[in-house]
Amino acid sequence: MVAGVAVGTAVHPERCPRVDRAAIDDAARAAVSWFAANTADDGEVLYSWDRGTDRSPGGRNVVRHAGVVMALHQAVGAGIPGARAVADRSLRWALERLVETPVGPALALGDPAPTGATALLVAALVIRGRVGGDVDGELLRALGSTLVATVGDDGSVAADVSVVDGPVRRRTSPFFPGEVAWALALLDGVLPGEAYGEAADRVLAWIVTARDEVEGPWPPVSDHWAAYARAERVRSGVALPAGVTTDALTRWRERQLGLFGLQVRYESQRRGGWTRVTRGRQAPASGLGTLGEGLGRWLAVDAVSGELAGRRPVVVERLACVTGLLVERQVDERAAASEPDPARVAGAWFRDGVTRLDDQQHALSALLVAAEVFADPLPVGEGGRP
Amino acid sequence: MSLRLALVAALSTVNAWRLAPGVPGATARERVRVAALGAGGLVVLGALVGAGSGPVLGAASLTGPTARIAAGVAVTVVAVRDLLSRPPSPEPALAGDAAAVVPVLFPHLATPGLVLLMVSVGHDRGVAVVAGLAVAAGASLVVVAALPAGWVSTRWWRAVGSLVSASAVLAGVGVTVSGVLDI
Repeated sequence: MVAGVAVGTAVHPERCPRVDRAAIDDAARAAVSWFAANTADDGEVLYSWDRGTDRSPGGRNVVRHAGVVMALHQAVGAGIPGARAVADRSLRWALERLVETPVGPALALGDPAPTGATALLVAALVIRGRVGGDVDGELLRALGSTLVATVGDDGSVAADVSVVDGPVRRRTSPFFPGEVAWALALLDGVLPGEAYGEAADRVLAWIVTARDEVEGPWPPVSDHWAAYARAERVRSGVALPAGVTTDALTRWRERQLGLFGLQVRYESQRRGGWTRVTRGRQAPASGLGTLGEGLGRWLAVDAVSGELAGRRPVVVERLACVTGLLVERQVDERAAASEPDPARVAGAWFRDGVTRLDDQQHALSALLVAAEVFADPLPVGEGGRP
Repeated sequence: MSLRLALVAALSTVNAWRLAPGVPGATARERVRVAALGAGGLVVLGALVGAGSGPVLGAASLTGPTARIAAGVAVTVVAVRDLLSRPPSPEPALAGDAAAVVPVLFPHLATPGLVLLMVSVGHDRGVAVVAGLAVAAGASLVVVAALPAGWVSTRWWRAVGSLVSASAVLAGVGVTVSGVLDI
């Protein structure tokens, strides 16, 4: 009986809703509609909304805004109606908040400028160029200079850029290195031969070989941005960053995939009731979305390098699970209709009655990558298991 | 989970050293016969569990890695219980060869830890591997059953049994960790 109780506490049934391609597309469109309805004329996106009070708790975060701009440009690339207009608006807001620093322009709401904001803005601009939008090449190059200046000789990334002193290394960020690596990798694609690729590889090498030892993040980071970066470098023909052995890359990849998989399995066990005690409350859509983004980018890596080999079907299963959970947890128009302000709610993801703009951002990006992987209209997921 | 870890977990969970005094029989010959029949039953059970592991996990909505966590936890709990309790007794037992079923197969061999381990290994590696583990685990009991009853009730023999239970705790933790770290 003791064994039964222990096992019953240690594991719970994993539930992954079954979804088809149409449902994925509908959910992505609804997320873009939420952005369209909740982006002001000046381009500022509503930061958060509380369904319980029908008010915004407020807040502003320039990194998250830049992430939204990037995700909306991904949606433009996926051909989602209305995405381009809101992408343009949100980008304008960001461009109006560029500040000059000793190493180049940076996106900021004050001093210092968080490096991740500039990195995600660069990613947005490069994607914008890929999907037919106008991009100022000189601005891109200037922003690239800023990012390169944040990269140390060892590949570590300064988390902030001071308007007065330039790159500042007083704090670390679990995600900025991956964001910077991705932005630099994207820049290398549009401005080849300007050392952006080398800088991207330096950051990636640091993430792969040193980050966990130097910073010892706990819990360990499942780094979806690093997966984006690696996918971009593999796409450019760089399978192995300089200074990284195949063994080190394999260890890092397996650890990363393990972290993504574990979190998906854990999240799929959160069903309310007793599991709220044993598993805690459900993750925000921002967190769940990053799992989909990371798994999707690793599948993109595999599509070029084939390095997942026999593990690919498992990764696809986990992505299907994330997709099903996201589609199921999104508030649809019918449910939102009874709200005092349906436009704040429809197409969004809430946790404990509150949504934040990055919930929609990461969920949207995950749905878009899922739409690429599950191009077939047939349902994905087994209805009960990841 | 590596094959080696699965084998260590199966052998240490069965823990023939600890079970040896619990095999019924007045003579070594009788004990070997009962142990062999019980081991045969374990192989049949293993084949059934291994073959049915996919549908069982599907019905329970569990992925392979999560089933491995369940198996690891069960192996650990059973091993801790074994560490803290006295070695099993041959009584009560069914009469004659039926003693191979009670108490040898149930409850000595087919513990929750071993059954869940067989389900997990069956899902990950197939029925043949599960059957192989059952053969090895059952054979270990047959070997110790052939030893004189006086040997298997000595203090040093029990100490070895405790060491094997301790290794089962470690194996259970190892199985759990392999499930946690998998995709």
